[in-house]
Amino acid sequence: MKKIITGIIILLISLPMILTFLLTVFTYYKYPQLLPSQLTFEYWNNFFFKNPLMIRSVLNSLFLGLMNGTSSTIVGFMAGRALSKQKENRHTRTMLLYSLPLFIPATALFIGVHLIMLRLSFTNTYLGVVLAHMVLSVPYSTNIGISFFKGIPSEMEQVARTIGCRDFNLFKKVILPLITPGLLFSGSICFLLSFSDYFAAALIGGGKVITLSALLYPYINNADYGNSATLGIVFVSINIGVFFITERITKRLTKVNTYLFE
Amino acid sequence: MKLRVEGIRKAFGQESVLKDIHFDAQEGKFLSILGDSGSGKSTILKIITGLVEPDDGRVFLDGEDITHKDPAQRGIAYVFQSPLLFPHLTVYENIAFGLEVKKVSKSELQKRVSELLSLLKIEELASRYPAQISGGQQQRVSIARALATKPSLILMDEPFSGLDPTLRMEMGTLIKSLQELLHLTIIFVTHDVNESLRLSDQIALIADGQILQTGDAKSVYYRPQNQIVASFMGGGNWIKGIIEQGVFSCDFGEFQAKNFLDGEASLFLRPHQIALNKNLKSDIVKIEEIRRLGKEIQVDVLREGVKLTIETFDDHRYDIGDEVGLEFPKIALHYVN
Amino acid sequence: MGKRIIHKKTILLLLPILLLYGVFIGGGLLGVLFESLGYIPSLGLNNLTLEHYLDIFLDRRFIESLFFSLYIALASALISTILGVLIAYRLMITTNRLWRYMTDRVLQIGLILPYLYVVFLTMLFLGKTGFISRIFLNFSWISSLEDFPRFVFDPYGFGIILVYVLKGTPFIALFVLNIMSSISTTYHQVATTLGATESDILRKIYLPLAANTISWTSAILFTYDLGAFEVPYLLGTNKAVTLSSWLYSLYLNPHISEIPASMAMNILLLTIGALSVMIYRWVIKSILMGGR
Repeated sequence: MKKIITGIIILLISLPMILTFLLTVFTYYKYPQLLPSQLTFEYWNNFFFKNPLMIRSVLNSLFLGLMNGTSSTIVGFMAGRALSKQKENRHTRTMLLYSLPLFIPATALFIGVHLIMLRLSFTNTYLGVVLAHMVLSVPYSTNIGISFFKGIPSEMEQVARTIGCRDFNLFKKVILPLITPGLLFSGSICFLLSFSDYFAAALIGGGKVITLSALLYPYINNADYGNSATLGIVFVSINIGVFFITERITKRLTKVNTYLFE
Repeated sequence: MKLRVEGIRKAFGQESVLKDIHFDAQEGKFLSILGDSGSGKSTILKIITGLVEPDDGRVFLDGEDITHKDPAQRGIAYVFQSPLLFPHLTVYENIAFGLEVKKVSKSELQKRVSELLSLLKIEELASRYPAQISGGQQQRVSIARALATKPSLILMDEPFSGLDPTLRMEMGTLIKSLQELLHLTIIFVTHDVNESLRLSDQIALIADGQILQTGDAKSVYYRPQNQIVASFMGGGNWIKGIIEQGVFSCDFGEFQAKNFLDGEASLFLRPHQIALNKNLKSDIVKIEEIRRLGKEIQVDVLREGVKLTIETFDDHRYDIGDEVGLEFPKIALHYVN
Repeated sequence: MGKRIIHKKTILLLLPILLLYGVFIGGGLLGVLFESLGYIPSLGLNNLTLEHYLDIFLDRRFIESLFFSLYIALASALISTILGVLIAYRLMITTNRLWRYMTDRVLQIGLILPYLYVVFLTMLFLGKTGFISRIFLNFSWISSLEDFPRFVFDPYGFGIILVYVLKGTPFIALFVLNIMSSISTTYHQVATTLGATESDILRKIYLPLAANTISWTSAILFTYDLGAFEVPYLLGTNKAVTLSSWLYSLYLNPHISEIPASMAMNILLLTIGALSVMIYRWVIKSILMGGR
């Protein structure tokens, strides 16, 4: 009985993926046929060879994701370090402050960001898009940073200091190993946030910085199943891939729980 | 009879925690389950409440087989080792919890909670939160909370282990007086021998997943059925000899052994059951060692290779190397074959 | 308030985040504010005025759009929160390892899937020519395309809410699972021995203790559902438009005369949004705490 239920659930969940995949290799899907027909390699051919924009957008998104993952994590963990020493009662107020972007409606927020970008001539640049993504991701990386720094018992630092460890060495040998799982976790979350974002990148990147989402959007809008499915599969595979690879690496490093917004 | 536990077995993975547990708890009486950590005593309680399912065996409450009954329906209260008061509720609300869940009327609830607040002497704490009161006070609230729904049986799992000795004594006395006042049936788990002797009507000794002996305090203490039980309740002396037709003969003389079987046996005497007497001239023993325990001393004496330990009041009369006589009790002697 | 010792090091550590927020969020919002008041020097408009705000308040479309946005955000966030909390609680008390693992995985995947992909799937399955419609037709449960109900591109925003709930529920479930697991399971045992049912325990113990996190996370979801535009834009109709989609299309194709007005709408979205979020969070928290 258990196996039947498990089977049904797995079927239900993979059905969307299966259908999507079929749409990338079959081109004829007139209503009301159940499954698409007419095998074709047109879409994948398009993706890999014919339309260079597609691969480029994937690379762009990967690059932006990597940049955002790194910079947001750094900024977030720096802030996290500074804020982890706070007492409990001040905690909610600070949480509100660093989570501010999460409580401002995205449209209003990014239109404002765009105005400033125009002023600073950051529009249509990679830097601009990364900065915009950082606004989105830093609340999460700060939160992760705080919880990881809180998890380091303060005695550890004190002991290290008494045996002569000076600041940089202290950081490298004592603190870094303890927060590495957190760094990885934060990095992967910020990567995913950037990779999946449409709005900020489209708005600020303009025509110059084209992300995978930006390319996917019009295909969906026009109900172009074939191309949407193709880009969709690439999209989801990368997302899932990155997440689970990071999980593997983190698990191998330590057995540490990851806390979010405790 | 209130509670009967029959043939309970429980293993966690490979480890067999409870091997074959039988005992009864009488209505309105205080039963302790006495044992070391890891002997399985908490597991027994959890099986009785229903938080853990036994591998085998049965639990009967007032004649009803409750072995597999839903724990929320059993009407058995459980006081844990730590108070575990709900942190977001006041003392009053904590106590009222069980009654609220049963949808008891507001007026009745108020009456009951006030009753308990005064019984446990915590009236002034009613509107405080758990974080604002001490450990001992928290444990009182925890007991009040357990009593609120008038449970038919109360289980207590080493409830005073986190408290300092004086407080522990106080709480023990409080519980005992509550039990007598309200005619409660209590099963109390502890590893503290003295506490157990002081408070219980019945004691069940558990070691290695099995009940070794049950009985009232006196019998478990003075008439242990074997060495393990004896040593658990504190030190003792075993004197070897032979019983023949109701008389026990050994190096120290002859003693009454009326209801015991013939054959080889050991006489069991607690250290304080033997007295030292400087004035006796026969059957002398020599003092080997003296240990001071506050107001008492423990004296080890030796005679022909047999060592006995004697406890007596310290009146500064004895020194190492002294030769003294021994006085033995004449009646109610206990032998183990 | 006590003595506040601010080390140089602390300031240094906080500098990047303060700069980021100050320049882009603070500066950005100020910019929008000024433009909404009619002050756009680059276009020669140098006067501050509130007339644009007035125009908007009188515009019926604005009011309709605002209410529609709030309705979508409220419905999506509420449903996601309720489902997410129930799933998290059920998951937490299940001892069956297989179920826990599988549900955990499914939730994680739900969290990672990009919104655009979920929109695509919704169109694919629930559209009038979608997969489910095709199944119905092939099994003769409907006789033609017309009979299949309109789930996407509909005036009630069903498709939009569905996508938001599909994405929002894993979000809430995983966060809540995390916080609930940290609440000692012995409270659960204590409550059981006092006669409480599972529902009692959830309502009286876990929800109050997790109320902070649940209301916080739900508020984040509410803001997102209110402020994002892609999903309503792709799955909505011309008649029922959310404020964010409308603002996006205005921003893309600006008529110079309309810029201050659209900026004003941004500010209003912001303020009304912020207010709604606060009220929403307060209400959710009070409900969870049982009116304490």
